[in-house]
Amino acid sequence: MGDLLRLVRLWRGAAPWLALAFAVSLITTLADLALMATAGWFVTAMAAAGLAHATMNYFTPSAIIRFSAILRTGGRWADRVLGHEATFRLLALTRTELFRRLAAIAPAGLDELRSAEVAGRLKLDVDRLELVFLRLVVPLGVAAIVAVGVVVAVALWAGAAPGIAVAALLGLGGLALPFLAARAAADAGRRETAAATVLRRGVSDHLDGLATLLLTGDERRRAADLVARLDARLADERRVARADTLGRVGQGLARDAALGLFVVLAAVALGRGDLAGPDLTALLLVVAAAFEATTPVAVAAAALPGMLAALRRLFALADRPPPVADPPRPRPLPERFDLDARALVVRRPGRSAPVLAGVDLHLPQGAVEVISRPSGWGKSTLADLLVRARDPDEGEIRLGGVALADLALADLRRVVAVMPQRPHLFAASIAENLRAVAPGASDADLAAALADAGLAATIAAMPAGLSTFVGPGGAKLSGGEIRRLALARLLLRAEARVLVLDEPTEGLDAATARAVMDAVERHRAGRSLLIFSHAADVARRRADP
Amino acid sequence: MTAPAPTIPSARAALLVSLAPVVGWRAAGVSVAAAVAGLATVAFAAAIAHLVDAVIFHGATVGDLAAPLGLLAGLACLRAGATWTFDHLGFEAAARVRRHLLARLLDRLRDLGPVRLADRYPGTVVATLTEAVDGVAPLWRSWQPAATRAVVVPLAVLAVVALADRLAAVLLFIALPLLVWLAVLAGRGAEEASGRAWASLARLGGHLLDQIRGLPETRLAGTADRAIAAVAASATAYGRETMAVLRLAFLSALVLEFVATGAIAGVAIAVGFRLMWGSLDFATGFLVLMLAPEFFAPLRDIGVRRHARIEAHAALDAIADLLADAGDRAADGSEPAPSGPLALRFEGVRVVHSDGRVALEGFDLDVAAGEHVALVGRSGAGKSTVFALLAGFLEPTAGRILVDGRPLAAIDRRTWRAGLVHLPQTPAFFEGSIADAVAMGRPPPSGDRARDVARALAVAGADFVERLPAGAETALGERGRDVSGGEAQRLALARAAYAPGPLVLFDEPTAHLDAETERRLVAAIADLARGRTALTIAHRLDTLATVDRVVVLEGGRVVASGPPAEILPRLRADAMTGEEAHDG
Repeated sequence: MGDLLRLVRLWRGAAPWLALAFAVSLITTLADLALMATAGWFVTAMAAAGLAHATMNYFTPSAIIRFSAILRTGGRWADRVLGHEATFRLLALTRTELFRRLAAIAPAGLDELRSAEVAGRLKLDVDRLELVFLRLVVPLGVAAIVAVGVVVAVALWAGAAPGIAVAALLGLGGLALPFLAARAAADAGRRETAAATVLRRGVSDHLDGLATLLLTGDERRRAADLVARLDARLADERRVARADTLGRVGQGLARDAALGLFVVLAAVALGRGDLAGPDLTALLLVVAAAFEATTPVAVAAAALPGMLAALRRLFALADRPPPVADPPRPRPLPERFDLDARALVVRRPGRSAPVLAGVDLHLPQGAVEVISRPSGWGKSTLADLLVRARDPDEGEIRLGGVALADLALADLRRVVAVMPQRPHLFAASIAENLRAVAPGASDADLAAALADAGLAATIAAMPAGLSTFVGPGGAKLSGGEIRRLALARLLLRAEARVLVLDEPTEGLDAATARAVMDAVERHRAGRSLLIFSHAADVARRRADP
Repeated sequence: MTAPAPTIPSARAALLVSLAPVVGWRAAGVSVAAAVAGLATVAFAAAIAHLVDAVIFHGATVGDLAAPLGLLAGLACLRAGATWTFDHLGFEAAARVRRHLLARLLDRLRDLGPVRLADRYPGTVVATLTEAVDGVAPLWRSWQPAATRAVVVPLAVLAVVALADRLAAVLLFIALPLLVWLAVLAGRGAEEASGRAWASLARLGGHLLDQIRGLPETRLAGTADRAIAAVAASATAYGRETMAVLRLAFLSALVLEFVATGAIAGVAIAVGFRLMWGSLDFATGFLVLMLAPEFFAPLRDIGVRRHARIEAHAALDAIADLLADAGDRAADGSEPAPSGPLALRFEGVRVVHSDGRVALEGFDLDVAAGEHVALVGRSGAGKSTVFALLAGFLEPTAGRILVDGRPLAAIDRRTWRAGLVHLPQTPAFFEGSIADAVAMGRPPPSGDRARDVARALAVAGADFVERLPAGAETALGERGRDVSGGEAQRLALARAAYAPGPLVLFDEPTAHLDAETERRLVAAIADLARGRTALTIAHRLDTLATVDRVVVLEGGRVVASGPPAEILPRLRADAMTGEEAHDG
């Protein structure tokens, strides 16, 4: 529940819209109650007048009926419009805030988001978060207010006994039962959600490895396994469905019992002369309408555990401590940019062997160094250390004699730039992808950087040129084009004095690899160059810097 | 897929027909129970009206109410029981369908095989086997009961009202077609607009995810603030655009609401004045008023559920599409596969892909028993098609493949595949331990799985396994996440060495390996290939020296063939002039 309160605090910025949406929803439901009450009262009073051969003033009640009917109808429209409007505002608030927090812990805190599964779950969680208001807060709030109001009205007009009966059935059957049912199924629900993820991963692995499975003869067993997993999942889904049915059937039975009981108790009050006939009809219909208002509670109760779990996961992600911090009193950038690192050790929790075991590095300003070591040596980790994406467990890095930890993060990352092994391309244009790291660059700057990276001709051949959409994750570009675009990003970082290239030629054919490395050499303009590469022809460059 | 795709609705209808035996009597059960529940609701409302009339206008005391209250309780229980029944049957029907569809789709994947499936986006295929299979459930669980109620309840209400009060029945009867028409209109307008709104929300979710995945780079470039502003701006813009559409779209639902309310109000006026004039008794009037909302409620309900039906139909279409993908599958052979070293012969083999691409054309190749042949050529030259043919993932469009003089098509596919030692570029791993990944469910050749796994790991030089605390029983983690590229290659080699068959197919890895790992890998494979027939797809010239023969492919045919000493200098010369013969 603490998470829910945090969410409410986060929503303060949209408070007027939320209040308005809630008020309209409440007013619409109250208009419905008024309509039912007046109609019931009116029909009974008219019949009584007919029996007595009397006339009555039907102008006032029919005016109320007309007014509340119009209010209810218009209200339902306004309810939908405002509900969506409020949701969109929450969406902007929560997404921006979540992103702001993630930006604070990036880059090293977000490693596992490279997994499509974690990323997909994050997206589902955020989507779910935005429904909390519309699916949870509004229906629960409205149902609770209406229930209290109806119980008070019944007690005032028909007496304590019917009041207590309605209160008990409305409270237990209408409000509490759905939550009890949802709670009973919560474990099964959690297992089911987890099983759905596992099954999806199983299907995805099955498809990815279909050739291997068919060729080792293991395919039939694995396929039967997947069907068995669906069976296990269905068993849990069945428990959730039963609880859901129980909640709804119980709500219906409570409503029917409340109506029957109310008529009996009201008959007693009527016999004593404590209740008028038209009031009886009015209250009966109001009680029925109150139960109507509690039906969305079942949906809310079923959604609650999932929403709370989503909230918990999101806040846990947002609350991670940043892996590195700015020094309290940063030192100014040094005059020279010689890199010196001694005995660097990085360990990863859960792994006995360190990722980086006692590495030294010396890179004088303007020098070129190629590190060509076996896979698993920890080169990507070393690249992370140089821009303080993380700090080493042991050892120290100095830039121009100043410890990296004493420099402001922004300063350090301005002068040391990394071209990552797997660059991320945004689902946007080529120009947007370049400006994502160099916002101030002019079109001419972009064109120059692309030409230096050997992409000028490729992009000139594209129909929309710089505005060409690259697809999600750069899907419309080849591996070599993505790498060269990443290189163009690096070349746009004009202030950088140390360039770190992580496997710059991986996946490129020999001619392109040569062209890329030549471009780097040509445009490094006295900057230091640290290259991690397995490729033999890159390693040869060490000889002739 | 060479045949024209059938029109989607008929494919969906055929799929639904094929599901009928799976669902069995449950479908009828759902409808009957839903109808009973709907009728009980109508009867309950009528009983309440009767009860209220007895209490207010006939001075009934609590003692007189026993019988009608008993009826009321009976109807309440009947409705509860019927609701329980259609919920239960609906779930079971959907569960059986989902289980059946998953099994059928997995059979389909087996028939199509990886090469023909490569024409489809993997994400779409996975979504068809997961989300689409789950997505058909609402048809039985919510749409069918709602549709039954929407037919049964209005008719029952109309019948009861017609017996009680003709005028009210006429009013309802007139309003009905107008309402159905409006409900369809509102359904089309509002629900689809709302669907569009949520779809654009999903796109927005994609945008957020994109920005999050790009955070490492924007943060290091010092432009994270700009990314934050982009996230905020896109969320606000989406909200504004979508609301403009929604405000209008919801209007049609508003009109529907107005007509329903107006019709009920009309009935109320007709009832009310006749009550005052004494031409109608309260019992009838109140009954009509209680039933009028029940007349419209199921129609509104079905409008809300239309969306679930549209989505379920889309899911069915996706499933029907994958199931209908014919693939030109040849019948399986029945002859036993050879077990010793085997000779291969390709005779005028031509392979045309479903999209018309010609992969092999007039491809002739003889491989002697025990020979080690390397295939080289540009990407698209047809090297991997040769492998796909031998694995039985594709059949020749023309020409034939002979194994020891017998047509490959006549050999039983499963035992033939079991005799292949396949080393793919990127090995695939599944949930389970390292030992599971090596054995892959195959019976251990010596009868002792642990010993055979250890032997295979030793042959592959996978000594890193010994250093793990749990050894070969260590779990591999999600898709072999916990092993490096070199380790993965060694595990794949151990998998091959566990129960080696007579034919080795080795696709050299192109990247991710350092020179030392690669050298050891190639040496181990040369060991494995000794005494067996072996084909290698080679990407590097320096690994070709150890093979018996190099075959150069271009445009789907053999352009040169000979011992490495003869072919290699030519390839090197080509590479120097920029003609890369070894491009992956």
